[in-house]
Amino acid sequence: MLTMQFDVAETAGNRLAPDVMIDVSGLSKSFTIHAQSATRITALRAVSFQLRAGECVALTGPSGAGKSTLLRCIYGNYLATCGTVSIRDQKRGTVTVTGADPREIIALRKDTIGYVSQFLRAIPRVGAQALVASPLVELGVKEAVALRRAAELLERLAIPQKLWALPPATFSGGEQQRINIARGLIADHPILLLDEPTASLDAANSAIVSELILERRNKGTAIMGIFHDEETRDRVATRLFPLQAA
Amino acid sequence: MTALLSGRGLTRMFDGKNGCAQIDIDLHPGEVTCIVGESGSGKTTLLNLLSLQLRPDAGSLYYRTDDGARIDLGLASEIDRRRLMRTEWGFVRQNPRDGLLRDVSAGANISERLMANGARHYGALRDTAIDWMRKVELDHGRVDDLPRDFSGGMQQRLQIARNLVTGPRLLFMDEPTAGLDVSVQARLLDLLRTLTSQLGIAILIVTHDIGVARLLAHRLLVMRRGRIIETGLTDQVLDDPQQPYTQMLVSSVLPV
Amino acid sequence: MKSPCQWNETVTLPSKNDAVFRNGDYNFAYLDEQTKRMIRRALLKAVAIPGYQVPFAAREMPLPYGWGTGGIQLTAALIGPRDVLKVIDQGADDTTNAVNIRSFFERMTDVATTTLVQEATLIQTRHRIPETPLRADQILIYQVPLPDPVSRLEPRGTERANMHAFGDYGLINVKLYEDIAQHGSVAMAFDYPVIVNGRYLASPSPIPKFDNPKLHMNPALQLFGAGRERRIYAIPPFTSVRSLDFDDHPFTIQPWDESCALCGAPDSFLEEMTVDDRGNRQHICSDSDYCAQRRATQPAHVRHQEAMP
Repeated sequence: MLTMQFDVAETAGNRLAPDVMIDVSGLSKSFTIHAQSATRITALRAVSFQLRAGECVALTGPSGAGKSTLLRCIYGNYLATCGTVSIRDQKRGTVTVTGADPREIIALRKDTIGYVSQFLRAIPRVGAQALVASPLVELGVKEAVALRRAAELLERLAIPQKLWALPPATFSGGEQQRINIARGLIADHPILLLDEPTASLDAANSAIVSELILERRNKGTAIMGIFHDEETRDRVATRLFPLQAA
Repeated sequence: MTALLSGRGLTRMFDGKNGCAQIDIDLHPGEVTCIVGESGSGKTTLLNLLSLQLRPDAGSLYYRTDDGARIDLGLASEIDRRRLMRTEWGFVRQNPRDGLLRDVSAGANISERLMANGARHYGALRDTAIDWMRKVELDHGRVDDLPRDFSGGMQQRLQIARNLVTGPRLLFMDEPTAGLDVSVQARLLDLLRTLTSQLGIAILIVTHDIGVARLLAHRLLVMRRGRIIETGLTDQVLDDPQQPYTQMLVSSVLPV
Repeated sequence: MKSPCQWNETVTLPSKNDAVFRNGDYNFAYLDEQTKRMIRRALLKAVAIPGYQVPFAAREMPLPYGWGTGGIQLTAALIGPRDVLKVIDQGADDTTNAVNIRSFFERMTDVATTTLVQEATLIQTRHRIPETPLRADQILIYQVPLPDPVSRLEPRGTERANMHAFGDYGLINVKLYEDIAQHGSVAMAFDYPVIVNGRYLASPSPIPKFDNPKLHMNPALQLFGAGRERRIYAIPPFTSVRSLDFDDHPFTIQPWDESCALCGAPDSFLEEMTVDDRGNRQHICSDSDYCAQRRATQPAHVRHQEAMP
C-alpha cells in the first residue's frame, strides 16, 4: 500500500471544541506534475483556521490563491501534502480527513458535508429531480419524501417543472448550477462547502441562492464558500478568510 | 476488520513477468471497488485470484462469512469454495456468451443458481425469474426466449440478473460494459448504480474505462506491471492523481 | 511382458479340465480372467458408491459399440457355470440382439438360458426392466449408451466430474425447467435422469420412464455397463432412486388407454405394432415373457375382463 506523504500534525488530543465543525491546521498542498519533469506547484502553504456552527466564512484572494484547493482538501477530493483537516461528525465524533480511509470519507460526505461544486456532474439517464433527491435517499429517507423535498427546492430555485424529469446534461449552465445547489442543500448537512455557487446565475437567481444560504446559516450550518460577486458575499458571509497566492 | 474479502500478499506470475505480485486488498460490504490499468497490468489476474478462478503462487485470501467467522479460502475445501461461488458470490463476465447458458431460455438462465441450491418449485422459480427480468429492465414477456434473441446490452443485463438472483454478498465484474454501444452502456451503468446502492453488496469491477470507474466506484485501485501503484477514493485518485502513471492515465481520457 | 501368473499370484487359475475351457480356444465367458478381475473390482467400487460412475478398461468385444459391449462385459465378468441367463432387448427375448447375445454366452459358457424371469439368476437387458418383480438373488445388467445425464449439457469431462464430485446438479435441473417452459411438461420419455441414494445423478439407460419406479428399492442388484464410454455404475439392492422433478410438476409415468391386445394386461408397458399386411396396429406388451406367461396361466375370459376399463 502507499505510504501517506504528509506528516500527521499534533492536534489537540484529536478533539474539537464543542462548536468547532472544521479544524484546519498547518495545511499545505502542492501538486507534482510528472509529465512536466516533475514540476512542483504549491497551492496552499500552512493554512490554519477553525469553522464554527452558524458561521459562513467567505474565502477571498486572487485567482490561484488556492481557494478551490482548500475546499477540495476539506472534502477529501484532494490529498493534503501536510497538515490536518478534522471534521466534527455526529455519529463518529472527530474524523481526521487527512489520512482517512475512503470509506470514512464516503460516510462523512453522506452524513456531514454537503459540497456544491462549480460544475454539475450529470449521471446518464437520471432526471433532475431524482438527481437532487439522491443524497436524501442515500441517507435512508423514503424515495417519495425525498422527491417531494427535491420538488420544493427546484421550485424555489425557479427550475421549470417540465425539466424535472429530464437528465440535466443538456440544461443551460445556470440551470445546471441551480440543480447542483439543490443537490448540495437537500440533505441538511451540518457543514456546507460552496465553490462559486452563483457564478453563472443572474441577479434574481443569485438572490434566491443567497436567501437559501442565509436560512441554512441561521439554522446553525457551518458554511465555507467562494463567492465571486461581492453582493452575494456581503449578504451571506459572517467573516472573510483571505488566502494569498502560495 | 469489517472487510468481506481480504487478500494479503497475493502473487501469481506467468513466465516470471506477467501477472500480479504482493497485492494487499480489502473489499467491504456496500462498496464498489474498481481496478483500472492497461492491458497486461495484471488486473484480470488479480480478479481471477480473488474470485477463486486461479490459485495464487503465494499469499492468502480471507472471507468473512455471514456469521462473522473469518475463513482462509486457501485452506477451504473445494466444496465450500464452490458453494460460495454459486450462492454468496457472483461473476459477471465481459462477454455474455461466457456467462450465459446459450441453449436455454432467459428464465432457465436466471433459475440455474437457485436450482443448484435446491429450489424445486417450477412456479416459484419462474416467478422469481420474471421478477428479476423486471428489475434489470428486460421485457418479462420474453422469459422463454433464448439469450441469442436478446441484444448485447440485454444479454449483459440477463447475466447480471442470473448472478444477483441468489442475493450474493460479493459480485465480480470483468469489463461489464466493454463492447456495448455508448447509449446501452449508460443504461447498464445506471442499472448497476441503482442495484449496488439498493443491495449493499461488495462489488469488484475490472475496467479500463475511467468513466465507468468515476460513475460506479467508491474506491479505485490503479494497477501497473502487476502491482497496485495507487489507491484511494475514486474522485480523489482521478482529480488528484499522485503517481506519474495515474496522471498519464487520467489525462489520456477524452473529455466529453 | 509379465505372464498372467505374475499378475495373479493370489488367485487360483482354472485348470484345463475345468468348465471354463470347454469352448475350445476361448476362455470361459470369452474374457480372460485378468479382465474379469478388473471388471469385478470396478463393480465392487460401483456397488460401494451407489450411482457413481467408475471408469474401467473396457475391452474390444466381437461386436460393435452400441450393441451392448458394456453389458456383455459385465455379464462375462459375473457369470458362473451354475447361472441361468436371460437376455432381453426392449423387453423381448426373441429380437436379434437378444438372440445373438444369448447364443454368444451359450457358446462361450454352456450355462443354461431361459426366457422366464423367475428362473434367471442373471438378466442382461437393453432398454427395459421386466414387468415381473425381481428377487434379491437376481442381478439385472443394463446396456448403457451414455452413462452421464449431463453429457449433452456440459461437454467438458473435467467439469462433469466436478459436478458429480460436488453434487452440483443445477444444470440438469435447468434441462427440466426448460422442458416445462417450452413443452408444458418434462419431455423426456426415456432415459429419465435419477438421483441414486440421495447423492449421485445417474442415467437409468434408455428405459422408458414408465420403468423408473421399478429402480427404486428393487430387491435385485442392478448393474450398468457403458462399453464405449468405459463406465460402470450400480444401484445396490433396496436403494432409493428418485426421478428428478419439481414440487409442482411431480414425476409421473405415461398412462395408456389401451390394454395388451394379446394378454389383456392393463398395467404393462405397451408397444404399438403392425400385425398384418393391411397395416392394422395393435398395442402389445413389450415384455414378451410377461405377456406369454399371462397368456399361459390366465384363461381368456379373465384376461378379457381385466382389459375392460
